[in-house]
Amino acid sequence: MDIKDLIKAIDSDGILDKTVVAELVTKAEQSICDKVAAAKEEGKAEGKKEAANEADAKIQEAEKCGYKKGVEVTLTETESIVKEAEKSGFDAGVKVALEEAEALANKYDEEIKEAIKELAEAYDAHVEHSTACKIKETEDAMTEKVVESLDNYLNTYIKEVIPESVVIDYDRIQKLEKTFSVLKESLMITDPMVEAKVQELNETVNKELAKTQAALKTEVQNRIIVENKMNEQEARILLTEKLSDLPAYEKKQLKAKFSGSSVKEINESFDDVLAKIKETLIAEDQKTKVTETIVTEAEMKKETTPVAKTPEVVTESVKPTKSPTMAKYAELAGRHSNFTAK
Amino acid sequence: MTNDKNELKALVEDIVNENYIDAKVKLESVVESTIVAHFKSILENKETK
Repeated sequence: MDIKDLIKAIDSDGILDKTVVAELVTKAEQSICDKVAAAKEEGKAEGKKEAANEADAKIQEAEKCGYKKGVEVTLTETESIVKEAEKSGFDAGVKVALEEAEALANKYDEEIKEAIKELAEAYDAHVEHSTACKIKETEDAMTEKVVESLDNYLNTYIKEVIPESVVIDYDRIQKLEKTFSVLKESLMITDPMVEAKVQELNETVNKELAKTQAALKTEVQNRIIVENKMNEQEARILLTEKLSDLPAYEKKQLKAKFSGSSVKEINESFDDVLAKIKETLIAEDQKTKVTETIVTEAEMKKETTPVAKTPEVVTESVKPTKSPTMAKYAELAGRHSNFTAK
Repeated sequence: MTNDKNELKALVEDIVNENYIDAKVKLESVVESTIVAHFKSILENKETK
């Protein structure tokens, strides 16, 4: 029986069966007895052999010494020697056999001790393993319970949170969406020829659109230019109409002022500008009149008090045609008289 | 048992080992499975009726 069989023979509590232990001991004892018997036989054989050898040697010696004189005595001696040799050989054989048996017994003792030690270790391992198994079993059972509780809790919670009506409504919506998507897919154009044609048409339409857009842009620009020109023309006509009845000076001033102005600008500020020009002219007329009065008075004084030696100087200084200031005054006076006449 | 037993077991083990990140993922998956099972059961009942 080897160690595996021994471990198998251990029961659930880790204790070796008594019958197995008895069997083991019987086997060990039997083995020792066998060995002792074998050793005895071997010792006997060896003792006989040695005694025979010794007897042969003695006989040869006795033959050499004078066998003829006392063969019988020698034979008796030889027999006794043989007996003694047999006895001593047997004793030596028994001693050797006993020593061997003791050695074997020691050896078996050690083996048994080792086996018992291994048995104890195996028993400890078995106990440890069984304890670990029991702990694992307990853990597994607890895990099972927790898993079941968790499952029940989740099911109950989901049933409470999501009532049946909500699920049915959701299902309806899903079905409707599916129906719509199927319809949409069935209505979609998938033919590559048709797709190519649609693409071509799209490109053509885009090109036409781009052309129309460019033309429209040009048209808008042209229209703006034409509108600007028309506005300029209208302003020019309006200014001409407004200036047509005015005297040359006002005409010149107003033309310079409103050249390039719009119709709106002309309508808004034409009358104001004209009024200002007129005011300026009236003020200048008054100045001219004062000057003319002074000149007339001076001439009249000259005529009443003749001066013999200085007529040329006076004449030159008061002549309106020769003085630039006086000429300007005269022109202004003429213009004023024309304006008042109108 | 409605839910997958192994999945629940793995979830419990994650919780026991304080592996909360994996536990969260597993819990989401389990809840999703439970909802799907709940839906299926209601719809099947409806069809049989």
